[in-house]
Amino acid sequence: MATKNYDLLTPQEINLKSYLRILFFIYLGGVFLYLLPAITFMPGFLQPYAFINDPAFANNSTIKMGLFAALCFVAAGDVRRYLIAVEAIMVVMGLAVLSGIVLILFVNNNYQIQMGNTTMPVSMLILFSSIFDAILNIILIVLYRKAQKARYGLQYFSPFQFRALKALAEVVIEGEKEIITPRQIALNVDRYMSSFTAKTKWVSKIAMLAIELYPLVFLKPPTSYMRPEDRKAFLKRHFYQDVALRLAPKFLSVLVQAMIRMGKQLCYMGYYNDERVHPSIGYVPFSKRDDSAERLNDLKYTNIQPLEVLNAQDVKGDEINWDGVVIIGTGAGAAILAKGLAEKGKKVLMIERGLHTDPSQFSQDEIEMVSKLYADGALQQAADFRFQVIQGSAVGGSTVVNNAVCFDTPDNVLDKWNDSNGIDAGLNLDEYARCNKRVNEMIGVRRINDTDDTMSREKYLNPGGKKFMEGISKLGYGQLPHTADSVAANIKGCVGCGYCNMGCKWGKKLSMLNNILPEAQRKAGNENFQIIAGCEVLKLKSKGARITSLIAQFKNGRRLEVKAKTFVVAAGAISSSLLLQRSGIAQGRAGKRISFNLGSPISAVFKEEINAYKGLQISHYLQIAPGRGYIFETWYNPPMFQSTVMPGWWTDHYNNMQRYNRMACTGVLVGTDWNAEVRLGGLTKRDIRYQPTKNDFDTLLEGVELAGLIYLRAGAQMVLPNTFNYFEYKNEDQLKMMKYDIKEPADITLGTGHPQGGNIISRNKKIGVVDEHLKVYDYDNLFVTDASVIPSSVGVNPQITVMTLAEYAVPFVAGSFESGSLKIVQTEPGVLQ
Amino acid sequence: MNDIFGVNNSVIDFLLVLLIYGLMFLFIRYAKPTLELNYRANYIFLVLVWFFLMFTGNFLFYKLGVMSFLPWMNNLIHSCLWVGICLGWLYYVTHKRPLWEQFLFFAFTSFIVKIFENMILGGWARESYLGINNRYAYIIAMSVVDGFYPIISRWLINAFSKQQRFGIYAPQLA
Repeated sequence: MATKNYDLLTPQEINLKSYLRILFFIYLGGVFLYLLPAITFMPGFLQPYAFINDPAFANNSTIKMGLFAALCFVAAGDVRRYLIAVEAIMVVMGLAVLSGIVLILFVNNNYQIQMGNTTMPVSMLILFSSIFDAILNIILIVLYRKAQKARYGLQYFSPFQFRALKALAEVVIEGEKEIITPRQIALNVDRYMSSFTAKTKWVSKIAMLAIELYPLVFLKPPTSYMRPEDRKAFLKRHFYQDVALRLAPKFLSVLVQAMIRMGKQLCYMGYYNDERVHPSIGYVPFSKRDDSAERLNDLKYTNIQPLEVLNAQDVKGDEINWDGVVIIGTGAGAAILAKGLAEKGKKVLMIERGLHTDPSQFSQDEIEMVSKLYADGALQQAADFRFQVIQGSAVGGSTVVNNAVCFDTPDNVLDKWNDSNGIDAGLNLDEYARCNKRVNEMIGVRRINDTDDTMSREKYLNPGGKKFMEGISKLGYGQLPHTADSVAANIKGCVGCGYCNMGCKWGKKLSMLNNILPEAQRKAGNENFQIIAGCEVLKLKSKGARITSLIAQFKNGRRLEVKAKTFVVAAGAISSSLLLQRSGIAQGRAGKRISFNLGSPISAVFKEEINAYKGLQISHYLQIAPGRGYIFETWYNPPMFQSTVMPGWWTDHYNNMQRYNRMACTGVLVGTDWNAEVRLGGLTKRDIRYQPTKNDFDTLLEGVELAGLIYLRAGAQMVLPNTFNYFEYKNEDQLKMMKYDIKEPADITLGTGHPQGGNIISRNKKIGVVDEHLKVYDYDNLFVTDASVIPSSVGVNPQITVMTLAEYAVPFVAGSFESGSLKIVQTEPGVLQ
Repeated sequence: MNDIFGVNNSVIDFLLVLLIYGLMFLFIRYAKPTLELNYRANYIFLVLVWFFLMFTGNFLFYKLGVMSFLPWMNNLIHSCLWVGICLGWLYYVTHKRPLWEQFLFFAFTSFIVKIFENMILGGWARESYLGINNRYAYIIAMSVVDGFYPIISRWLINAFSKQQRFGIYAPQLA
């Protein structure tokens, strides 16, 4: 006879089962205890406890204990199948404790009852009973959690949150043929969330909890207890229509929208990052593409520059005396400055919050790479959770995950900065131009040409970009004064794998990690150029006008004090601003006047396969003249990233993802006003406050509409802006309605990878945090050289601007440094002490 | 007022007890006069936790009949200055030693302080305890209870450092 192979219970589930059996006997004993007097069989030792014989008391207690005994009996039979019985016991026991507390606090008739040879108030009896219930319930809850976590192998979510996520995935991923189960989706998400540390991660737990419990407000069962049809109807009604049709009050609408956005995105990540799903949407990873070997052979380039980075275990003790410059950060501004200083013979120590991942370790797994390379696992949000600020967090900073697109600082922007009646940055523009030229050479900015030095081949660019270029030509934007071309980038010999945002495994992107840092370390020598990774600087300590040391913390909680002569903050616009605030520096100015390159994507669906993922992610751009305040950059992502910006809900989203290989996408970038700020506040201590101005929002919408028009002219069947409410625009007449469909920022997904400002450069001390030499006001040995010094949005990809400002600062930082008497205690190569 | 300061206790009496604490603190601090960077958060955490636990615990256990009443001011300085600050530092000094050694350190130093408090402020007075008819039985029992300070502290530090809460750091778990 064939036997079925049942899943064995985990040891934790067996513990739960055993405990339920014990509870069963406890409650059964309780039932007998109360029933014995009724059948005139009361043991002698119970005689002094008259309350047991009280019919009303006995009746209620018998019912309660009998019910508990029955539930325990059933649940112990199969702790998986009858899990709901366990949950019922936990909830009712919790209520019993709660009601006990209420009765103790507010009891009116606190009569005395006989207890052995003495009496006690009934409230005391309730107190003991509640404590007893609470202890039993706490043990049950602990065992239940352990059993559920062990059953699914959960590492991040609680069983409760996991079930909510699973229930959400069941209705959010909805199509004709779903490849993996909701449980597998939720498990993928759990794996992702457990793979990185972030200050804002808990928001995902709160979102799951809220999604699960929100139906209670409408006297409906929690989300996961509903039938899938009812669940979907509820989500549609209260998470979608209430927001889209503005039926809910504004504050509630913001929260509900944040919850469902987070929940949806997690489900998409869990589903579309799974390689079993990829064939169903027409995606082929680079390692499995037919022409991958040919491409790698065509554009050979080996960039194996070793970079020595110290981790927590390499740094002994809790204090470092560094006889040189300490730079906080390793991104664009930090690395260029570090290289410049090293070339001037200065000793450089860099401290990086993110971890070091060697490019050879980069993979095609989006979840793995996001967790390794992005700040807060790319979950960094503005305070209202509507605006996503994506930043890299790894050795090399955002340059490891950006698209390497290079634009020089526009002249009109520089003029605005130097306007003596305005910002009054006081930059020497001739020197700035020289620095800009040097940076372009240093990082290897290239375009497509016929040399071996080419950025890439035309055929390896994003095929979606070519569609965009077709539309541009048809609209007449293809010639001067407009600029429409393939991008310039610090890339050499790109093979078009399409994984720029996950780190370039092939060493083609000349990022700080691949290029500048290893080169600087090689020139200066490892002992004079050190990098500590996985270490977040918490505070700068000062004495008078000098910074004396910094306090940093490794990811395992260990702290480190670093003393040096000169300090440079280059941790990015957000982190640098917060660090100065935490250190009490530039109070009232640090963190203000932040601007962005506000972006929103628009997708286009074509009849034929274009496989936009098979090529350089950002390949083409369009700048219209005279400038209208926006630029276009074609863009496409591997499935997980793309799914998070794919418009639509339910089957619409699913169907759009089925057209993944027939789609193209373009981002519209708008250089915004400087009305954002970041402060140490809110629940995340990283409170980004931003609401687009009407002008910026209108500019963005105009750009999105024009991008849609370009795609329609290129033959797109429809264009899809990334709106909260789903819209398809199939012709130009429909497209004209877009401005009526998108009325306010909440209607469309907004994001940025380019925060700028916060510690702006200005000779006006009332608004500037740093002077024209990028030195922080009131401090002799503190500089800032990152995007936070940018006084107003550049309006284009800002990496060249950041690097130019850092190069500009090199002589000032080097000049401030005096070779001093501080001593580095070095015991062995590569080990700081 | 007797509930607050105890019977017949003057400011001088309290200053004398503070002097004892101070001298004990000098003695405890002798081996390690400064807090290491990575222990500062742990120390502050232990001071606050033990102050709260002791201050409330002394009163609750009195209500349950397990302890004698400690006048409020005596309770405050004992919980805050002695248990919080002094024993917190003693734990910093001894936490790498074997547990039994720590236990003895804590029990012994607590015994000395309780004897002084008993002599000067009249606290920790109970004629018999646990069936033993001797005025020292209660003080010895309470000192033995203080011997569990390092065991509970180690557990607290380990539990909180796993989640890196309040900046708590336990090197052996890192």
